[in-house]
Amino acid sequence: MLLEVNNLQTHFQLTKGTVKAVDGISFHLNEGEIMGLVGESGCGKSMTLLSLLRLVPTPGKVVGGEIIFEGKDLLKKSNREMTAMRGKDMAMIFQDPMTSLNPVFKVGEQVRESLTIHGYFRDARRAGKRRIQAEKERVIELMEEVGIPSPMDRYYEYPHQFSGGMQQRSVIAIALSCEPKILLADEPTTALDVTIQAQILSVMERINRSHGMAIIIVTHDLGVAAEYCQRIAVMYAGQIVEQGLTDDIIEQPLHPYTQGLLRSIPHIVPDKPRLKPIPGNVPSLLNLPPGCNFMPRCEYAIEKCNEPQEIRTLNGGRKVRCLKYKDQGGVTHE
Amino acid sequence: MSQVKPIDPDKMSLRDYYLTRVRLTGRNFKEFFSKLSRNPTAMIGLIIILFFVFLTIAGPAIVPKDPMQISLTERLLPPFWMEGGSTEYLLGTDQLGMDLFSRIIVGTRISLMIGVLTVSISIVIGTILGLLAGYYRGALDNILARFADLLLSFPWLIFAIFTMAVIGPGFYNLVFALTFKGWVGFFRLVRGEVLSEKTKEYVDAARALGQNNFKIMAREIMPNILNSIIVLGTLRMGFMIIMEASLSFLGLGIQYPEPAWGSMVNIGRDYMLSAWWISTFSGIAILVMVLSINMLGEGLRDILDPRLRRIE
Repeated sequence: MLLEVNNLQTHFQLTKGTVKAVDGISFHLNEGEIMGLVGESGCGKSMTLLSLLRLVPTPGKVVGGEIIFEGKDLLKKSNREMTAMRGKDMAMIFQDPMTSLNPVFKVGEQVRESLTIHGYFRDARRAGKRRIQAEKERVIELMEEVGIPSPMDRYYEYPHQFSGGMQQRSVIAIALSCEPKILLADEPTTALDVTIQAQILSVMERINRSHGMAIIIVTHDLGVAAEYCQRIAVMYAGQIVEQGLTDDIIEQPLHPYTQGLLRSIPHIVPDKPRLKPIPGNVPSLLNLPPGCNFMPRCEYAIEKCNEPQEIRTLNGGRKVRCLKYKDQGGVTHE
Repeated sequence: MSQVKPIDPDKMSLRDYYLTRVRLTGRNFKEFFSKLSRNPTAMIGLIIILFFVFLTIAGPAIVPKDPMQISLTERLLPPFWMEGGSTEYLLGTDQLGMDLFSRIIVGTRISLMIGVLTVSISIVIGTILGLLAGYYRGALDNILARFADLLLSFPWLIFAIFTMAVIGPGFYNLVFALTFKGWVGFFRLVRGEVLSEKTKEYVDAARALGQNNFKIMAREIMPNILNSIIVLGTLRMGFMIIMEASLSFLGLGIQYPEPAWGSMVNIGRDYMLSAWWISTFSGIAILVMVLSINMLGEGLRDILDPRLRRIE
């Protein structure tokens, strides 16, 4: 197990109250695995990723839990250790490639920057120009690897001269540069069109295979998660409501929310049945229901759902936060 | 006999490839100057400023007369083309018989130095504080921003008059009085820009890469706001020169008989009807310098504005 997150809590202390953006999340990431974190906007997916890097924007704060990476709790590390770790052990890709590249620097130089930060070629005792040369060669390699055509010319171009797909490839090249063990991708394809989306995801898949780099993909697109991830965790209102192998979840969703999500995906088939949306709205994170967060919208809700729900582990390691299921067992009621 | 090998980029080693590439480091500057040369307003401004810079450096060496030399027998002589004027005093003399032409040339030095000094000190202070306040926010930002608001609430001239009255006239006191309020403009500009730049993902991305706060400020955000600082700096320079002239005019800046344009206008005020040239030529000197600086500033704004640059 490469990364283990236990009961992670990230809260935003506002004057109006406390927003529990991440409310007791536990999951793990195996080596060389692609995991999907799925949920709708504002359910705390991105905050979970930022919490892993300890980059939660103020007034947010990680208030509890532990993040075990290589046997050490990241929440106990000093800021300096954390800074040294970012990019080297865990790198992150952001949603909008247009703004995640600095507009005033050449793309190649930005890729090189991360090599310089972490002293990638420092131990080679190459001074001055020779070190820059070595770094540049590595950058060209990286750009080639993520599929940027004629990287030698592209090295000297500025972000605005790149298309969205090429920009995201460059961002991946930056993330890849120090060969981190975990790549955190925060909606890497949301800002791109569908064809480019597939290309970017296949680049990530290829990297995952060739480097054995574990990837967490945050997405609101169950289709993306189903296609590229081995395991999926479904989030709702700051909590993980269901977790398991992708095939299991797609074929037999257990939590009513996951079922609802899958029912609301359109299919291209003639005489299709009408899509069934999930009724109601996402509850405000400031004002959550007392028990199960999904209860107000759930068609199976019963009186007991008003009590807080624990996550239950079922046979085969699946986890679900719903009292329809009991630990290590099947369905308690239909 | 040597054979010319055709260059095949695929077969070249990376090292050779770099060697054949045109050095691109200077490209930004080249691009900048080619745009500047196509902008007539900025070019005219730049040429006049360069001329003033030349006068600042070479002024005392090339003037026909000692600008401080008093000759009471030749008081209030008119310019050479008027009746009673002579080519010895090209633009005439003032009420102590000092050569106006020489004084205007040497006076360039004070105006330009005040402009450059006040603006550069203001830029340094304002930028550093603006970066810190905008980046870290919190109590530091609150204190600095309130203090800046406080300074802003005073009208420029009143504030400068007050400060000069307290600390007394003189060149360095003048620089102090003008920078004391001058940094606020840069502080607010930089702080605002940092606030907007900070929300962009490249800052998050840099942090996620393990870049430290200082380098994020200096090497990621700073280059993005440099253009705005340069433009405000040029425009502010003209303003500072006017402020210096105003204070000298009011007798609070550079004191007569030191050759400063503002005090020369003031001296000429008493002789406006009999010897109009004293105030007029000094005033024209101020006008030309400020105008040329503003022309350059306007031009730079067009050239450096990233929104306009993107379109090409």
